[in-house]
Amino acid sequence: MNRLHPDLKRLMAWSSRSLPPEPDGAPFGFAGRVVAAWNPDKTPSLFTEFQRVAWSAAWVSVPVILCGVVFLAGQSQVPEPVAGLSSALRLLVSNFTQ
Amino acid sequence: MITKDLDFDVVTCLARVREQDQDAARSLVEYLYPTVIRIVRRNLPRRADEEDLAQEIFLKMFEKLDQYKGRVPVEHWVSRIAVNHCLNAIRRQKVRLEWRMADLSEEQAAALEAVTTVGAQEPAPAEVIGARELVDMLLEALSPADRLVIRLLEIEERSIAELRELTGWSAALIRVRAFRARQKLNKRFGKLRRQGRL
Repeated sequence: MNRLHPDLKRLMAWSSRSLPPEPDGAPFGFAGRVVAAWNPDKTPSLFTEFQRVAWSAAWVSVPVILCGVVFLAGQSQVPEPVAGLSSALRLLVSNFTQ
Repeated sequence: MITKDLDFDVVTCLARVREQDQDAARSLVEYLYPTVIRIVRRNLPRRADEEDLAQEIFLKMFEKLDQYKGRVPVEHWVSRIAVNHCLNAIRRQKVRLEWRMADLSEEQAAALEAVTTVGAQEPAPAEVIGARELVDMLLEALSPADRLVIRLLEIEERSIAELRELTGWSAALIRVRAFRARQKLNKRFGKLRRQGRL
């Protein structure tokens, strides 16, 4: 591994002495400012609210669409009524109505 | 170095913060402030306010709190957020200045002379300030990531393992960055001494 020039290394050692002392704690009011800026209870913006409603609607529409698809698929599989049976039914209905 | 406060129950505090407890959030900020400000002060971009940067880091921490799974101490997790945030802030600056000997302040010139004098003695306070400024000027030639590696390895004398923990980079990547950065710094320092310019 290469090394820094000894003079440069010394310069860096000197520079580290000028670092400010370690703080004991946050300055007065700092934590309050941060938490106020974070503000988890803030009311959502109009766009956020719209986005939330749009997503909810999208999730609700998925099962509705699926149900529709299943229903239509079921409809297409119903067999055509037999012609003979159909005429017999018509005769029965006309007899009942008379 | 990580802040230790034996009376502070981090796990309970984090759970309360997740439930939007603002008192717990304030306590968490107070507890982590020394860790964050130490990183900010060592990696502060020019003209940036350390408190503003620290505040941005804490806000990012709150945003990402749901991602913290407790596999590492919270101080390590926040340190990594702080390091990455400072790196991004430095990258946004994109400032490259050319310095000449004539631009050096009295303290900087004195520090340069003192450090290159054979059998250099303990530096005077003004020379210490000058040394700090000179090092900052020299480090400006490096990419933010290389600068961070040099600061941690050469100035703070941290180990590669500590750097891995702080940055998430592999040991090989850290060694490559350190090698490249030392080469560049030695060249730049030589130029400063010979030609009086950077």
